[in-house]
Amino acid sequence: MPSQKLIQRLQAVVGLSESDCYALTSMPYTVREFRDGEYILREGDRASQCAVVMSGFLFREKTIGGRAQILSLYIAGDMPDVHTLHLPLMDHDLRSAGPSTIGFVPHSFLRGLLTSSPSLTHAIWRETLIDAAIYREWVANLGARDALARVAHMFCEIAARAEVVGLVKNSEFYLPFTQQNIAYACGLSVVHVNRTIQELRRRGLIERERPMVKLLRREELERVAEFTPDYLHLRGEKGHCKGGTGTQLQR
Amino acid sequence: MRYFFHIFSETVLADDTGTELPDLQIAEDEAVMMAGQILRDRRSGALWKGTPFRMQITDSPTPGHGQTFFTLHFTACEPGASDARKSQADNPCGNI
Repeated sequence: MPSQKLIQRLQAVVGLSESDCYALTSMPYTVREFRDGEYILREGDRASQCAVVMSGFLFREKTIGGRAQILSLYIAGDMPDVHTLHLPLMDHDLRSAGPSTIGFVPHSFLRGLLTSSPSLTHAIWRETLIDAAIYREWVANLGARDALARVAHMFCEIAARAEVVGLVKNSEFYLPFTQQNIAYACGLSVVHVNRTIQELRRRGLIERERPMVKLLRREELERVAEFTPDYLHLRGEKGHCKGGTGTQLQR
Repeated sequence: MRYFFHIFSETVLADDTGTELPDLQIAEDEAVMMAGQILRDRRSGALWKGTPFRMQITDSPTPGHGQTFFTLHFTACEPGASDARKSQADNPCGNI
């Protein structure tokens, strides 16, 4: 059910009331599976439903002058195209990195839900603001950080976001990205990414046996990346619904 | 085709794993992109002390072995800095 991770995510960033939790668990939805590289939406499409990532990763991408630029990444619990409620015309592509499972909720339902709940409206609004904060950090990453810091920063950010939705165990998490994905995201040559990941391994900072990543010395990796989680605006609470509306499924 | 990107500057950074790329044109593009980024990242380094930066793309994981596909050279030349003892090949700054 798409709401599981979404609730976990929203609880971690803003907190939800019982009635909001209940409303989210009763969303109508359809589930679709996507393969690696498959498009959920393309630039120029008009969206009429919102995607909720249930498992796997999505990314936003634009192709400029024959080269792809990955603009942002989304994990379980994220709603990468909730902006389409207000801006239905896509100005970028939304694609799957590795296999993913996506729940789709009609715009008509979401509009009704948000109209009846100012607190949910604020929660979703806050999510889009955090999305923008992440973009600011990425702009700084691409503009000012050296190759090692860029890649390290990406690993640190994904780890922090994955932790929020319970996807990190013993500092290890699933990350199906290819080196080409990482290259497009970090604005680097794929050869350079290859070299950079080797360097991170050589320094004992990460272990990478695709599709898993393990952060070995997280504090040191965060120092190399100049990473602080402040811009993610996490509250530091583990996400779950108060009042016991439904049981949290164990993965 | 697997290409190996070796870097020669104040140290030798050998590429012992290489990268699988579709063709030479793409290898050239990736080499320029990576060399540019490395130079950008290093800011004022050994380049300004007279140590040229060279990237050599070959078919071997061992630097100095195998066939060289192409080489990128980057040198900082400052007036009066050329060393008359070096050969022309080693001294691309010439008579600046």
